[in-house]
Amino acid sequence: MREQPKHRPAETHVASASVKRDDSADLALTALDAPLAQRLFQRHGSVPAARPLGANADPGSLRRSLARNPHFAQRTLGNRAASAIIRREFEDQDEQLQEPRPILEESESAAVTAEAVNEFGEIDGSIGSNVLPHAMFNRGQTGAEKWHHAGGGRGGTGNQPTGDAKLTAPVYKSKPATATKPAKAWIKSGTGKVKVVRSWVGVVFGNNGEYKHAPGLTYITWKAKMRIAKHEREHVKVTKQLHNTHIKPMEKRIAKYKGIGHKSMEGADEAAAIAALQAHVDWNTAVNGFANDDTTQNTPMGPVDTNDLAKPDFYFDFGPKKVWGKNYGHYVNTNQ
Amino acid sequence: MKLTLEEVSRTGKEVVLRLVAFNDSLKPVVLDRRLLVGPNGVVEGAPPWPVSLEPPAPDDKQNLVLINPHCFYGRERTFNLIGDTTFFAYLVKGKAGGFLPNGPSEETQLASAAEPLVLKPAS
Repeated sequence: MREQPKHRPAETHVASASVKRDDSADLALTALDAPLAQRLFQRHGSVPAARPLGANADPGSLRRSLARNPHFAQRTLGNRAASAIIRREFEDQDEQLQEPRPILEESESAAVTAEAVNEFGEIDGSIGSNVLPHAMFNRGQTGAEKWHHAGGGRGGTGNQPTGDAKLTAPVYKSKPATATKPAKAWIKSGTGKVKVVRSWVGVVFGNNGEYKHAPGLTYITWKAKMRIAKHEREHVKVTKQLHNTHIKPMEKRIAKYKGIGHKSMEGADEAAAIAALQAHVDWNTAVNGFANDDTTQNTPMGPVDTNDLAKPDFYFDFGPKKVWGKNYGHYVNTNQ
Repeated sequence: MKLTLEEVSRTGKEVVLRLVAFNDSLKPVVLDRRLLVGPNGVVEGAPPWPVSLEPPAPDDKQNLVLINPHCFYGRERTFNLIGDTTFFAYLVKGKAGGFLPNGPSEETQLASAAEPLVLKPAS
């Protein structure tokens, strides 16, 4: 059995002494740091790529080291502790912690609804909170229903209208000029966010009910079902490209000026600083650009539809056919 | 080849259309039934209806139809008219590219097109 090392109060003290902002997080970290250091020494007798803990130890170095070696931290200290260390590392570098986010990928028709505007006339269409920055969510296929051309209402359609985005307009904060420093403006944390979500409903294989544009039942083959799904993914793909073009660069501009401790825009007075920051962010241009282009691209018989229809593997109505003893007026299949 | 779209009958909102490929030349013509597209209904502002084709035969030769001079080949489809609808039909030279409701995706593939047929629902 391995000998237990003696308690080292100095490490505990040093680890907790490094805590700076955010009191609630500090408490959690202070509580975590002492056992972390102890467990590290119990299991390994040292900390990888970090100076030994002691009176002269640099706790920032420990954290940076562990953050550079997350797998080591995870194996050694467990998920919760590793997560705390990595989070702390981001805070030390004045970087913003972001939730893991899915990579984008969809849709059908409308424009961004500007539910309100802020005092600067910037569109604020936020419907809920907890939105994440730098994110376009591809929720993919949410279900399967009968085809919208046949007995279903939503099969083969997007769940969101084109141009849809949930907005939290930026809230500008400012600090007046002093005798030696100019006025400063920044964006309040938790504001200046755009959340774009796309998902779609697939179709079912086989009998899809009565065709809407003509008499007769509709039969969708497996290949056609998959091709319809591919078409919906095309809509999402284009929305992602537009998100990358319009929204992402703006989010990057905002991120630099978000929250205390980040960069701030300077001006002769508070109004000038805010105006300069507002011009730099250019919120409405980005949001409207996304909404308009998304609507143009993904509208029925818009570029996405016509481009996809132009592909030889698209699906077609092959007319009447008997399948497994049942008469269908519309046999929908791909042409390959 | 001359293509025509004809309204054959109408009952309520149901309209029966025929696409006819007529050999107006004095020589026999071999037509690949897979290259005859339509009738395709388009309602302005609405999602496109699926383009109409015929199922291909398993044996390639079975897809070829010999049409003698002044004879014709065609297909019949029934549609529901719920708004002003324009119907299109066309014949392409080969299978390259895709089929849009109103013509091939590659214009050079167009061999012949029917005059679009605009139909209104019965009032």
